[in-house]
This record gives sequence, structure tokens and C-alpha cells, in this order.
Amino acid sequence: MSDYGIKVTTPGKDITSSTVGDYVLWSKYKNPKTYIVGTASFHITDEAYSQSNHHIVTITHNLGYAPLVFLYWNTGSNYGNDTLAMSQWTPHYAVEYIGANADNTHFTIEYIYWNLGLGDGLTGLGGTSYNFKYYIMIDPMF
Amino acid sequence: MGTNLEDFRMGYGIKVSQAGYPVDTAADNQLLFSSSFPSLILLFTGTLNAGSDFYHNLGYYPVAFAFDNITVPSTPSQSFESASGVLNIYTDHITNTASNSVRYYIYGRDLRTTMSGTNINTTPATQTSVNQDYGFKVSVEGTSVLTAGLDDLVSFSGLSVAGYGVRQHIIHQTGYEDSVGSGSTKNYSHSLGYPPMYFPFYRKQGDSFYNYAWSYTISSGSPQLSIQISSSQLTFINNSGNTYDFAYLIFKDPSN
Repeated sequence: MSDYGIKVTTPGKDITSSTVGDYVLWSKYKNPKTYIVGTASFHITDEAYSQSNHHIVTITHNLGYAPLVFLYWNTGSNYGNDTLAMSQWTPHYAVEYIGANADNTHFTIEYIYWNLGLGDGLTGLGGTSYNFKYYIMIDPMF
Repeated sequence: MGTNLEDFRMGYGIKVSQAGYPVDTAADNQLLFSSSFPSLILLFTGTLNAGSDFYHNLGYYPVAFAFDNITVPSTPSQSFESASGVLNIYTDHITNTASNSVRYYIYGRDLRTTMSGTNINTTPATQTSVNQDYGFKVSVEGTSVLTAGLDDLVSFSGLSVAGYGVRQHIIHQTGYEDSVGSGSTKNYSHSLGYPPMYFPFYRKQGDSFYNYAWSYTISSGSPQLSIQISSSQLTFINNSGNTYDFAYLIFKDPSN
């Protein structure tokens, strides 16, 4: 079968190169593609150690499968912008939990402020705002 | 051949804008791709069982990451987390050190590469409404471009069903630095003027593999390792007590 397709290299790179890193586009391989880009935020007002202290943001994607998602966050103060890259994450160990979840139709960012029994006594987290930027990809998660 | 900008002034190259943006005035981060800037190309993806290896045989440390299923407190239908701590990236293989299977993605780019960030156009163009789907579409081998689903496309400049413009991630700058000691703060300037999307990687000195990096905090509250991005620089802070090699990719896409 003839090899039909399209190849585009970066400046200075030979179009006959076999090094994938020399290419912008090669129809033999996929480029990761973002489907939805957006932002979300939580403002934490309640410092009670309670599983009911629960914030959730849901974004509809309707891809029909759970997609790959990249998630970035900042608090405006503590850590600056940072990468979650889809993580079950505890900004303050054993006190806060943030999870990112996806199914065939939705992507969810979830915050829970709760005591896992290993609390380190951190206080003063009320009033913190968590800001998120998400990229929902076309690539499937599983 | 001259600089990227000279290439376009001389009429060399190809660029495609995202849906709704005029290609002549689109800013760099409003392009789907441009022959002036590299993009990530996906080479391998699949499921890797616990404790298993996948041999990519690329001869370099590729940009790679993985995700695994977890159970979260509120039990959504499918939860997952970055398996950054469990996917070890070697020059010839990856290893899943987790106790469950992961989904991995391996791209055709050496994460130990230095590429200076350049800008051709940083002035954003105004997005217009898209009534008809003019654009660029390439399907994977063996799939008709007429019937290919989104995941069977190599590249696509159109709108998603949700009405969003599909975008790819153009690489702006890459770099790496070895032997970043504990107590160090390293800043890597970029020229984008906004906080961009990025991928960080690190290798604990003495290890022969890299991991996708993430910030983590010990119980006392101070981050042991922290990666931060601003409008002017990427920062790697190491307070872990160990020495690390650090590598990064910065994209044109904003992270805010």
C-alpha cells in the first residue's frame, strides 16, 4: 500500500528525518488535541472538619468516553500556579482533598475539607480560593 | 534558512489557526499548529499492568505520563489520578510500579532537550463566529477523513460538538538542569507574558529514570518540591533533602 499522508517538520529539519521530535505534524501519528478549555474556582469559607464541607464543579463534555484532562491550579498566594495533571491531591496533608474525575459525559473537580485522623492541626485555611484551569482532551483516559 | 519569522516573511512554512481566528492575525497561541514551532506527537499509548514494563526503545527519555484508577470519597463513576510517582521513564522502557494498571502516553520528544522560546505574534486576534467548518483535518492511517471520529484524527482545526475550537499544544520552550540541590530555587524565564501550560519532570539523583513531577507537601506544611509558573518564569523549588535533575516543556497555551 502506498504511503499517503502529510508531514511537516520544524525549521531546519529535513522532511526525510525519521526523528519524530523533528516534526510538527506527521499523519502517521496523532497530535494531542484539546476539546474543551475552561476555568473553575472554589472559595473555602468553612474550616469545619467535616465530609459535608464539600465543593464540586461539573463540566459536561459528552465525548462518550472518559477523556484525558490536564488541570492547573493556584490559590493566588500559597503555591502559585501549579500542575495537578489530574491528581487526587492534598494541598494540606490530611486536611484537604481535591480530586478530578471523569466519566463518559462529565468532568468533575471536587474539594473536600475533612479530617483523615492524621490532621496536623493546620488552621486558617478558611478564606482560601482555589482557581483551576482545565484542558479536556480528545484522547481517552482508558 | 533564517529565523522562524524570516521563514514566514519569505513564504516558507505552514500554519493553521484554531476555529474562528484569522490565520493571518492569529497569535501564536491561537494557532492549531505552525511549522515554526514543534508539537507533541503521540507515539504509544495503552494500558500497562501493575509491575509491568513497556519497551519504547526510543533511546532517550521521552515525554510520558500515566493515569490510574482510584477510589475517591464521593465515588464518582470513574476517578483517576496522575500516576506521576509510579511511572518510571527510562531511555528504552517505562515501568508501572503501581499495584494496579495504568494508562500511559508516550510522546516522540526527548525531555532532556533545550529549545529557546521564540514569539512570532503575541497580539491576540478577535475570535469570530464560525458558521461553516472550513479548515484542516487529517485522519489516522486506514481511517476515512470523512467518517473519522475525533479520536481518529491526527489534527483537526474545527469545532468540537460542544462548540469549542479544537486546539493542539504548541511547544514554546524546553529545558533541563541537572544536580539541583536541596535548598535550591531555580527560575527559568519564558517570554510569553502570561502563565503557560507546562509539563515538568524530575529525576532523583542516583535513579536512572524520570518521573512526571508534581508538587508535594509534607505534614509540616512546607512544600518539599514545588513547581510554579508565572507570567515570566517557571520555578522549581527543592527543599526535599535530595538532589534532583529537572526538565520541563512550556507550551503556548495559557494556564490561567
